[in-house]
Amino acid sequence: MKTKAKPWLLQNLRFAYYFLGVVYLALGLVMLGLEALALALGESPWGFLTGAAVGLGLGWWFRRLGDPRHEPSRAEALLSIALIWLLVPLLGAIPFWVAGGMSYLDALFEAMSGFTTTGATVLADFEQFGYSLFFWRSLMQWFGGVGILVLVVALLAHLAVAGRQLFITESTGVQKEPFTPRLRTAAQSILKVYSALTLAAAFCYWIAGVPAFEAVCNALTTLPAAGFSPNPRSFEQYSPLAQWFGTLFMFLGGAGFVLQYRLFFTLDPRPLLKDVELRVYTLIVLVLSLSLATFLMTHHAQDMNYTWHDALRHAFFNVTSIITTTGYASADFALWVPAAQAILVAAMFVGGCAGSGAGGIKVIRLLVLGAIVQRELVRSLHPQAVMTLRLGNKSLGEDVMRSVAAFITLYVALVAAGTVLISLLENDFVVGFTASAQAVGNIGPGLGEVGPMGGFAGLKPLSKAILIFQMWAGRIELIPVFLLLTPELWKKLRG
Amino acid sequence: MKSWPRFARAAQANPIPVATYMTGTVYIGLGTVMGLLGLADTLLGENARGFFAGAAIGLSVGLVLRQLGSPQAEPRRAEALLTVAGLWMMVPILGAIPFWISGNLSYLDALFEATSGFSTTGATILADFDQLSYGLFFWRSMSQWFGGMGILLLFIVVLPHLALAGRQMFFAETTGVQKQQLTPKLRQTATNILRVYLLLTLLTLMAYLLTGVPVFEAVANTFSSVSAGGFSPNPQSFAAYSPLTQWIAALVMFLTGVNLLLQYRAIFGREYTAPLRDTEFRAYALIVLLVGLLMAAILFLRHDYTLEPALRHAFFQTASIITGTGFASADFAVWVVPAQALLVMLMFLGGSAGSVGGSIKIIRWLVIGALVRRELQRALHPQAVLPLRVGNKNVGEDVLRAVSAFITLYVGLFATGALIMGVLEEDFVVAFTASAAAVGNVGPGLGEVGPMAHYGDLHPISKGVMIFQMWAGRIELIAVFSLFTPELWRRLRS
Repeated sequence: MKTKAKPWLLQNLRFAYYFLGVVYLALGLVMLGLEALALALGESPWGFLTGAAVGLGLGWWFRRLGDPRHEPSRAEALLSIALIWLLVPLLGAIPFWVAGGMSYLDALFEAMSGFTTTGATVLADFEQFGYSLFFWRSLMQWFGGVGILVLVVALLAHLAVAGRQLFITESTGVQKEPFTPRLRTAAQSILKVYSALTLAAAFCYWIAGVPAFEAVCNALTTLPAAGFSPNPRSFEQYSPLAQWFGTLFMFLGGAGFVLQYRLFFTLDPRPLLKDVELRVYTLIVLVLSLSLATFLMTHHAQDMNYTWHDALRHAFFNVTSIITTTGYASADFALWVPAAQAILVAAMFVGGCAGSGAGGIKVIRLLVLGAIVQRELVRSLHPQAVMTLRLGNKSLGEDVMRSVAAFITLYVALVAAGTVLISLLENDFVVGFTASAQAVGNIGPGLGEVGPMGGFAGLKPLSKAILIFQMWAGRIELIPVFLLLTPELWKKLRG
Repeated sequence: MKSWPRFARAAQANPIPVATYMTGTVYIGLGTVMGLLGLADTLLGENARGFFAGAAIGLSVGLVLRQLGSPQAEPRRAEALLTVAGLWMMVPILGAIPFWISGNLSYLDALFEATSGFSTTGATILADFDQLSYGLFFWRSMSQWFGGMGILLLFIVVLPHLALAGRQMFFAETTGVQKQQLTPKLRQTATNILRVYLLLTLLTLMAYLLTGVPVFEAVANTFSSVSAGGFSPNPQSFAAYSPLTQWIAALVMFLTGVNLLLQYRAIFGREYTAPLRDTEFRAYALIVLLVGLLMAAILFLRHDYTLEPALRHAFFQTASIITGTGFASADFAVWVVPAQALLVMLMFLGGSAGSVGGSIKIIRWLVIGALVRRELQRALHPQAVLPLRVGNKNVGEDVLRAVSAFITLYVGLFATGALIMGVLEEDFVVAFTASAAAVGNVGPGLGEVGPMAHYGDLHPISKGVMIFQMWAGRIELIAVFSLFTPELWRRLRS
């Protein structure tokens, strides 16, 4: 055996296996802890037990296959990202499947929606789950947020994928050199802010009268912009103060954590105020919320008894929730007039800031796109002019612009393809469009039958599979997933 | 023509002589046509006041503008852009007058109808088809035929010359020259296109007449078929005609989406295989074939059509929507959602770049597809220098940028329109499809603005939005959006 060369699948993916093994072991341990919780509460112990056994067993085996010293090539790094975001939900689905009374497809949907911080649920009956399963559901979103912040934000920037090299270079100093200490510091500071805000959110929710368990679960899903709530009515039944707190923490969750680090830990607000992306993000939230509040007052002051205060609260809450791709609801916005819903659909395509756990296209990419268009218009007058594009005080390279254009094209194409396929399967255009848009953007609720108080349980299995694919691809910014479809990647891995 | 001294002085100071001269010339031409139609209408005993009013205004304003302008001056880029945008705005403003005065329409509705006509969209606000006289129906279809002719010249001659929206690449072999006046070669190209256009018009007319379409309707439908327009004097559109006519119309619509220069080479140049070697044509034909077959399968399985009607309606509707014509052989607004979803998707494809088809155009999708493919490769080899190829042509970085910007503007205009109309109409399907149908110059949408319905009941602001979208969409956005840059006006003043 030793004399034979190992097959390339084992040989060239050693780093991925090692990493995956570590993640599986960690999740196995977490599930072991939850097993204790389930036993203490007298809930079904089999789900977490199976999950822990599979996680620890496979984790140990993957770790043995892998090798931490192997320096991953680009192809391997990109494949690892895609693989981890696929394999982790496969493991995380086990407790839902075994103990939650769900089919494996539904369980996978729920787990994918969890780890991708989407927040779309197939749970029709919230009685089906015990406390431990709800806690696991929220916890996986929090881990998903950590994964996105560390792995995707840092690694994709390092690999210069989807224009990410631009968004983070200044703050983290990622250049062409390998994973630097500076990058590690950046990751640590991001996680500090993330954890501190989670604690603060849990405390504030509790103060505002949310039951302790729900306060913790909701805090875990607020900061990663995720959106699972153990309460079937999401934020609808909480006090106005809790809803305003929700708005605040969702807003912070959608702003870049690196910027907030400077504010909270070095008390230096200047980078925050000078940041173009944050300014535009704030402006968009303000404009959309105020126009939504106006519509709510003009159309629903009578039939839903909204006062100006209610209208403003619901408007800010739901706009923030959709734009940061969290997906909580403080009211059943699927019942609002189309005009109000149209604003929320527009918000679906914006997304938060690049250095956050939010999904969607992201504000900065839209700014880059706007700059490209503006330059082309000027160029139609001066075809020979050489113009460098600037955003704030950064100049944009041609490579960033091309990446951003390709990313947005892929994004829109994936939404469009999903819309056509899901409309085909479900025979409902609104469901097809909004389900597809929310899945790629990792938002959570759509409109119509998949609205915030509805769910995805009634969809056909194939539609669920499409949505699972979209959540997966959307979360890791498309490029790693679409690369799997190109022969070049496999050629490189083999070679 | 001898210019009067007072005009001569104004003409000296006129910063946009070419725009003025061109508009004047077109106004005189349209004024003459309206005058003739007015005479014909008088003979038929119909209300001809609208046409005479239009003729009077067209001729007088046209003469004044022609005096103010000058044909000699070499237009600068800023002025060229203004000319294109201005012409496509001024012509419908004049063309609306007959509808307004003799058609019992408000001026906004009349302008909607005229913009829809000259932009070859085919969206109508007409609820009651008895409201218009023969003369007005003839004018409606004829405006599309003129619009089609204008857009061909714009697409194949003017825009490539100005290197706008990536067109410098699509017709590199025909334009050849850059930065020069209209050369003999360009003039030759223009003549060739018009020969194909006229030939197609004649053949279509004969085919419609032979398959039993009443003479008046055959002429009107011919005008709006070959221009990918979609106005029909029959409220039932093509659902009123025989299956054979529908098949012929499907073929004609398919041809209107094919690059006319390719057709010229195939018909007059005897290079019969030229289209088959063209990447864009192959992609276009493949899409029509695949979508048509898929739609036929859906219709066959989900509705009670037998095989031939399912195929016929599927291919008719596919060709009609992808080219932006907008004729209907059946009320597709009552089809199952999957079939409608396919039609909506087609609205964003469009025909070939060298055709009268609207929307984004096949070649731009090929370019953007090549860009995405290359970015994926670049994710693996960030340092690699990879040329971008579509078919056997190299795509320059400038073309790539222009195409990206164009598609962004296109989607942006569509989304903004859908949002505004969603707010005003309180109906998602109407807002979404009306916006897509207007920017893509398709015509009918779905739901309450479906092929057998009309746009008459929309909010006036929605109509205004659609007029803007039809105008901007037809001339490929850049010329219109450049009007909103201060740069253009600064350049014009200086």
